[in-house]
Formats: sequence, structure tokens, C-alpha cells
Amino acid sequence: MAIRRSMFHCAQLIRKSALASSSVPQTASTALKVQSAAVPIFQQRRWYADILNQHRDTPTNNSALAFEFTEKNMPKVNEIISHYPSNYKQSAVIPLLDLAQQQGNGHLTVQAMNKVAEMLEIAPMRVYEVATFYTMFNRTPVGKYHVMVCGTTPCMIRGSREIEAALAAHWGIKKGQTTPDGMFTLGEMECMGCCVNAPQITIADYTKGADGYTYNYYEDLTPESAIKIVDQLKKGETPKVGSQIRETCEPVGGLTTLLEPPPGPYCRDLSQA
Amino acid sequence: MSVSKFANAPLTRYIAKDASKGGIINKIVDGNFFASHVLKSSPRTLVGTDDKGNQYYESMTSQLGRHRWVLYSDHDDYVDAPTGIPPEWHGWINHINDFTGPEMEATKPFYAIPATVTKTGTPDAYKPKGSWKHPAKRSWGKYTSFCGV
Amino acid sequence: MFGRFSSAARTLTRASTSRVFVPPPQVVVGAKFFSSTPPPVDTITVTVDGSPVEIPKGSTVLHACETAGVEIPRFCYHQRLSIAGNCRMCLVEVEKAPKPVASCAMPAMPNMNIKTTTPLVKKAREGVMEFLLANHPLDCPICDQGGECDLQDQAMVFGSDRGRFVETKRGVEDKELGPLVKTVMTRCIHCTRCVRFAKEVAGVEDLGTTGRGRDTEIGTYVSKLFRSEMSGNVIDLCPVGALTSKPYAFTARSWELKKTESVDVSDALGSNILVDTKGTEVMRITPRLNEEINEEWISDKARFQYDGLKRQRIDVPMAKAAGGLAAVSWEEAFEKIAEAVSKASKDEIKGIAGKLADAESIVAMKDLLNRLGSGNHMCEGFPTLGADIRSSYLMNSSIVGVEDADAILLVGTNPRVEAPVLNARLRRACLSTGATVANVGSPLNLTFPVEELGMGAATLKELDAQSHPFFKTMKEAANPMIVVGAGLVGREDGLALLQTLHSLAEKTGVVGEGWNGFNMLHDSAGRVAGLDLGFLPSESAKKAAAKVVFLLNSDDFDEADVPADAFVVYVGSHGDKGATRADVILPGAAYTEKSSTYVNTEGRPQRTKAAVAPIGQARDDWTIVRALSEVLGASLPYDDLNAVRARLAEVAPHMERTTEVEPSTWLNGSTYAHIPAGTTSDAPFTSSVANFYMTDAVSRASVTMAKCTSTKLT
Repeated sequence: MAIRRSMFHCAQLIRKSALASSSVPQTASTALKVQSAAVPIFQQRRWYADILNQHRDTPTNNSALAFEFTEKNMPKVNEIISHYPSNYKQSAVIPLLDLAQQQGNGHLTVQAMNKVAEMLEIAPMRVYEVATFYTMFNRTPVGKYHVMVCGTTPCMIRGSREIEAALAAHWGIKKGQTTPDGMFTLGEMECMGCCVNAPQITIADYTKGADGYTYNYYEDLTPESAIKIVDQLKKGETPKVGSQIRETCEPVGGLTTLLEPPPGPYCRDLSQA
Repeated sequence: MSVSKFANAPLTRYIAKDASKGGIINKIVDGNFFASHVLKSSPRTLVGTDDKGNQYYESMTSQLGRHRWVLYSDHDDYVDAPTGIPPEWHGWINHINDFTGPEMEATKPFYAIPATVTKTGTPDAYKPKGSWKHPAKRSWGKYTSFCGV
Repeated sequence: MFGRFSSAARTLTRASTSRVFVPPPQVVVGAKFFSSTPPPVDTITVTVDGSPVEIPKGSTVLHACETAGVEIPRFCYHQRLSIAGNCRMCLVEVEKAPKPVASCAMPAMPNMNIKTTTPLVKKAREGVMEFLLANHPLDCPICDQGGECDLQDQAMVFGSDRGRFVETKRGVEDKELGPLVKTVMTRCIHCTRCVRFAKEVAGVEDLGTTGRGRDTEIGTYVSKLFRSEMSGNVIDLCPVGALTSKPYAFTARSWELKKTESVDVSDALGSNILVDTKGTEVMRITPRLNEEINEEWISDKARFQYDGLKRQRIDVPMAKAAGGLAAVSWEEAFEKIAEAVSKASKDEIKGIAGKLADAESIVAMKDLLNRLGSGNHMCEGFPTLGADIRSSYLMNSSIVGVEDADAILLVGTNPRVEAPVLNARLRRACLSTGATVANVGSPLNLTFPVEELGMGAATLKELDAQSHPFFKTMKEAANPMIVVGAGLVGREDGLALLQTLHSLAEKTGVVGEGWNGFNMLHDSAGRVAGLDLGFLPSESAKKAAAKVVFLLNSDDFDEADVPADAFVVYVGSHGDKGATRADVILPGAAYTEKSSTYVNTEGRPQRTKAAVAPIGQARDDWTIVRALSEVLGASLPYDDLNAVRARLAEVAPHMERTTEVEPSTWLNGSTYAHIPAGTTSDAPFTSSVANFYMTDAVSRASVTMAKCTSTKLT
């Protein structure tokens, strides 16, 4: 019994010290420990999705409404469908949903999904499945700029959590919410393959419809530069796309390796062959 | 909590009501008062308090498995039932995990509704179809016959 | 230790074994199948747990294990649905494979060495089970699936007695699928059997998988009812308690039920069913496997109309009195009938067999009427036609044969409401083998594409005159088929239309060497037995005005057949249209309460079994007729069921060979040759079934069917 108990205490100690990430004495209350940590680990974890996978009718988003692609977008629609064989039309579902979302200012409504199903001659449920599976389809309205902070490991290590917290504090909203003026929605995204320039955010720009739609990466950020970018967008300016501190993904302080020409053997001269 | 609630009521009434609900007198009689207020009074740590005012204590020097306990805020209105513990404290009090209520609060889905105490044993208890107390009486006849019209 | 687990697995899943092992389909008796020999099958040999097994090429590893007699646990795999491979419960070890393989989705290769009892397999399955149970609620005590739950059974073998998960279980919103299927979606393990059933068999793509990862849900996304006539089958398919029966909810436990093998009478297919009873009450009805009829599906009406067996029941003899019908004794009832019969002359005594009339009561009634000198008997809804040639009123291709057809012409029928299970077969023929389906009649909303040719007789004549393009399609088809609905034969001009159809059948080669595609789809279980027994009016009786009418379970009779001044005797189980018209009511047994013979639309006699005793003073219908014959002075010579069945076999020998189809002869167009061509009307062909959920006395008495009617038809 004694052994078991001591083992139990050890386990408790290990867990608690991991939880509080500080060396608070064992006798102090756990509640205090949680408050002492900068951001409780637990609150950073998202256990539940912030969106429903069941549709709720709203006045602007219900099956009774009609959705039509605009005159301007119809050539795009036809082009997308022409990419696929006529007996595999349903392959066009993702690009068409994306187009419908751009046309809907970042909001993919259920009537748009129905329209896509009708155009591709598949059951609406098959479209709903796709639209609910991919998190880049916004089934709730978003702001004019959808700001998504990368939440995957390299960016997280390089400080994406701080960027997210800074943006949230800057706008006074929480993750998944939209600013009261409808300009920005703060979201999170998983790895966008830009780890070399981590941390980064992606901003989807829905202000100019499907034609002027952009989906830009802003890399090598600090909390300050992230706020500067969104403030520039708010003022109507165009912030620098890509890395904020360098042109490519080469090291900031210049090359540190591969400085001399590569040694042989070189590729043989084919003209001599 | 309960004392302040009944502060203006006559003491006898409070004690009577308290006793009828298995209150403080019963707790003295069955030793729970002694165990939780005297025996376990020190050393103990107030880990947290939920929105109903239930207090959650822990003592690492207590016997293993009995080192966490709750003091119910009120023994009226059936609060002092195990289901009076809200779900966010459930894991902690049952030693399922070490996460306290405030820590678990963050994991609540946005559609969660406030937890309630079980209505079992009260007049509001769930009465299934066929219960004697169900207002719509169930027909226990095997069939209804054709009445001829 | 491990050997014990393995035998326990077999014992525990024995219940499901009977469902899972499919006996090889028996050769359907029919000319088509006599001429063909089974093609040689390429086989390969694999080793399962050390013993070699020979299996057809292209089989899965799971099939190999089944052949070897090794039960593989599974949730998502179902032999009648496509392979999903998403539950991972069927993991087995294959030699030289780097990790356990999902046996349901893995094709078996020659000389594969499959191991199902190794510690690796056990550990893998335990791991899968632990993940499944991570989010599955522990509500077995309040779950209707308890006792017949695949997850429960398999957790007994592979489940741990404690969990390692400290996280909370997820919550999922319940979906509203209508008055038949109850959903508790937190129990769902995402096997997607229901989704695949809806898509592949029911043809109603309303169910799907939304969301991803932990937030995956099965549902309809938008609020929508599951509008299928076969929706109840997802209850059987669901391996857990996520989809359960709403009418059956919390009424019984599976181990309390006594199962009786019986036959459904809600449509003319004669689907095989299990009647589950508790005491004297029918608690639910589930399908029974019959490869030749219903596979393992039944329609919603067959499954859920059983609560109609408990309402509007006639439990005592009744006679018309001053203030309506009043209960009387059997003697009084018989006396009144005898009095009325004594006043009528021979052909003025008439018998009408209804939708639910069984062969025994029909033959008894026919014998009684004939002994009284009357030839005035008819089947309800079959007014003018003769039934001398059996092939003229049967589904000659058989139900299985429907899948071989490559050009199908529907005439005046809506298979989706008349026989949903047959509709599923038609759908399979249409989608998997590419059969062309066309319709003459009111436009249909079926679960597969249908070419609408026209509304009525004009189109039919055009086809017959070879001027319609679909004639060519049928002519060129290898196995063309015509499905004639009961709505067509019920018409005044039915005879003329059938003549045209027979002529069309001859011209297009619908009947040929080894293939007879002329199919009549009846809408009631009692019709074919009546026709087989010759329950049709004699020539003299056709002119007679009836004075005494015996309604044998007949509720949908034509008003013209029952004159207003006639004395009407109703023999049946439910107070419906027939009973309200009646002067004397004799309480008969419902189909779950008697052992009786029904012949389905392909001419296959099948027997129901009494699951419960008849209620009140109700008796088997034929015994009522037998007792009545004594009072009327024309005693029938049979006193027990065997004697009646011997008489049945005398009149129609195939009635003795139950569950087999007797081949019928096709008279090469001479069936109607002696009858002068009649005129046809322009009225569009319609199905005889207007509301799928309410077709006969039982379903009209059912509350569940009434709820379906109000929610699904709007």
C-alpha cells in the first residue's frame, strides 16, 4: 500500500509540475498554480469544433433560397467543369464550392451547395459531405478579411500562439469570432507548408469578390508586424506579401554554408559526347 | 451558504428543515460533520469552488483515494446529491483526471447547457410512458376492439 | 488463454453467424435456369489458421476466413453493401504483410497465409475496440439494441474492463429521420452502413457523413426526413443502438421475444419475416433471409404495420341491430346468415376474397358456395379477366429474374409503392447491369432513371404497332421484360389492354427460349391464391345480382359488386370498410395468428405460422367457413388443417410444394386469342396503390402508418 501510494504521489507530482510548468511547492493549491501559468496548457487545447456539422436555417442561409452564379462567374464555372470528363463531373465539386464561397464573400451557404449539386448532377448530401469535411469552406459568415494563424508545430514553436493572442487582444475578440465592424475574422489553420518562414498567417481577402480574391501568406511575423499588416489592410493599404524580413527563405544573416562552388564530379558535358 | 439563506428565519425552522433533508444534525450523528470539518480540516487545500458554491478540497496526506472531497454549499433543494457536482468537476472528484473545474471549463462545447441536479426522487422526476405517475395513462389492453361504427 | 478467447468469440457471435453466413442461392425453378449450367469458377487456395481453403478468385480475405469457418468480427462490412473498410475491426494477420490488414477490403491472393488467432490480431482488435469505446456512451441498460448489439457482443471478447481515456466523451445531436427510425447519434460508430444502404439499395441519397475527425456525424445535414419505403432496414443494419425502431422503443428486450418464422402479407411479394412476440402480443417484425424474394430487406409497411394488429380488432361475432352493430353469439350470427341464405337462390350467393384472404379460407369458401349451387365468387380488384392460364397472371421471370432483364417496360404500375423490395431489385438491374426502364402510365418518381413513354392506351398501341422507338430497344434486348401493375387489370378495359400487351410481348420476344419476361405485379397477398384456386365467377354468375355476399377479408371491394340491398357477411380480423358495410361480422384471425398459405406474385406458395393466439372469440377463417357450412346444410368434408391442405393440393397441386415456384406454360399469344378485342379508354394508367402506407385493413388500422402518411406524404 505504501509503495502504491508513493507511486501515486510521484505521478501526481509529475503531472502537476507539467501542468503548472513552474516549481510551485507541493502544498500550494492547484487553482493558484493554474493562475500562475502564463497560458494554462489546458485552455489552449481545443477539444470541440467551433462549428456545427448540422445545418441551421437562418434568413440568409436556407434551402428555400435560390443561389445563382453571377454572369461574371459563369465562364469560370464552365471552365472548371470542362476540366473533368463529362461522366466524372462530380470531381468539380471542390473548385465550384470554392468559387461559390468567393462569390458569397467568404460564406458558403446551403443554397450554394444545393446549386453546385444540381449543376454536377449529384445528390446534395454528397456536396454537404465535402463542404463539411474541409475546414476551408466557411459555413458561417466571416469578415471581409479572414485571418488564419498557422497552428502547427513549427509555427507554434516560433511564436504563432503569441501572434494569435496579440491579434485577439488587438481586436478584442476570441478565436473564431469576427470583429464588430465585420472586417476581420480570426481563425486558425493547420500547416500551410511555410514552416521555413514560420510563423505565418494567411489572409483570405473577400473584399473584391471572386475576381479580386486573394489568398496571401504573410511570413516571418512577430506580434507587432502581424498587427501592422492587419491595420494596413483596414486602412485599404496593401501590405507586403510573403516574408516580412527577407525576400526568400534563405537565412536572414546571409549564407552560412555552401559558400564555395560545389566540388566535382560535375555533370559531364553532353555536347562533347 | 445555507446559514445566510436562512438567516432571517427562526432557528428552529432552519434546523427542522435541515434535519428533514438529512442536514447538519444528521451529519453530526453519522459522523460526516466530524470527518469533513474536524478530522479533515487540516491540512486541506481548497482546490476550487463551482458556480453553485460547492467547495472542492484536497489533502495529500489523507488516505489514497479519499484525498479529494466536496463540501456541498447547500443541503436544500437536493443540491447535496452526487449529481450536484457539475460535469467539469466530475473527472477531478472521481480521480479520473487531475483537471479542476476551471481547467475543464475551456473544453465545454459552445452548445453545452448548464448542468442540473438529477430530478430523481423529486416530483419533477422523469416519468416514463407507462409509469403510474405519468399523466397520460398507458393502455395496458392488448388490443382495442372494433366497436361497430 | 488465447484458444479460449477464440472459442468465446465464436460462441458470442453465434447469433450473428446465422445472419452472416449466406447459403449459396438455390437455383430458381424456372425455364430460364434449367438451360444454363454454372460457369467454371477460377479458384485459388489460401491458408487460414493453418488449414488450406479453396475460394473463388477475387474473394476477400474475410470471405476466405468465412469459408474456413472462422468468424471475423466486423462492424462496417455487410455482404449486401459496398465495402467501406472503415471500422478496422476485421484486422487479421497475413504472413509477409508489414502490419495487420483489414480483411474485408483485402483481396485474397494465391497461397496467402492468413492468421486470425495470433496475439497480434488479438491486440489489434482490442486496440480498435478501445478506440470505438472511447466515444461510445455506456448506456447499454437504456439502449434498445442491448442484447442484439454487435458492439456489445464484440466488446465482451475484445473490450477492456477499464478505459485509458481521461477526456470527456463527445456529444452528438440526434437527427430527426421521421416516425420510424429513432436516432441516438452519440452511440454511432460511423460504420456508414446506413449511408451505403440509403445510397445503394434504397436509392435515396439523403444520409451522409458530415464533418471530420472527432466531429464526424452521420446525418442529413439539413433537416430532412429519410424518405424511403425501406428506411426501416437501417435499424437492422446498424451494428449499435444509434438507429433503432421508434415504435418498438422501450417495449421489449430481444431476449424476451419469441421468434416465429412467417410471411408478410402487406404486399404481393410475400417477404419472409420473423414475428417477434412477447406473451400474446406482437412486439415487432423483422426480416428473414430469403435470397429468392426479399434477400434481407422488408418494406416499412411490412415492418411497422404490426401495431395495426392491436387496433380495430373484431373479437366477437356481431350483427346489425337497431343502433348499429352489436355483439351476438356465434349461433345467433349463424342463424341470421342461414336465414338470409335460405331466401337467396343459387347464384345470388356471392363470395369476394380480399387482400388478406388466405388460400385455406378461399378454398373452403369456394367449396361452400359450390355446394350451395353458386358459382358466384371473385377476387377483389380482378373484375373481368379470366385466370385459366397461370402464366397470364404471374410474375413469370421470378423476382430474382428481374435482375437479368435488360429492357423493362412498366405498365400501370409503381413498383416503389406496390413492392418496394422489388423496386430495389429493379434499381439494381437498372444501375448495375444497365437495364433500360420505361414507363407507360402516370409519371413515376422511382429511385432510378425511368424513361416516360406516355400516359395510357395510345402509347401502348403505338408500341404494339412498332412505331415507337422503345419497341426497338425491347426487340434488341436479350431479356426484355414487361411489368403489368394491378392498377391495369382493375380497369374496365383491362382485358383489351392485356391483349395488346400479350401481342407486344410476342412481337418483342418478351417470352422466348428460357426466358419469360411477362410479369404481373399484384398489389395484395391474397390475389394469386384466389386465382390459382379458380375463385372467379362462372358464366351464369356474372349476370346474377347478389342477395347474400360473403366478404372474405375483403375491404377494398368495388361498390358495384355488393348491391345495396344485399345481406353482407364479413369474415375478417379488422373493422374496416367491409365490416362497416356488413350485416353480420364473423371474427377471423389476423395473419400473425393463423397458419395459412399465401401465394406470392411469382406463384410461390408460402406458409405463415401462428405467432400468437387469435384474440377474443376470433377463429381461423377456414374454420369459420367450415362451421358455417354445417348451419347452411352443406357440410364441408374437412375438419382439420391437414385435411384442408389436402383439399388445397387437390384443387391446386402446387400449393403443397411451398416455397417453390411451379413453372407455368406460356400459350404463345393464344391466351386471349378467342376473346374479341375490346375498346380502350383514354384514361391514364395509374398504380392501384395511392398511399404506400395504407393499403389494407391492417395498415389502415395502424397508428404508425397513419403517422407516416401524415409526415411523409406532405
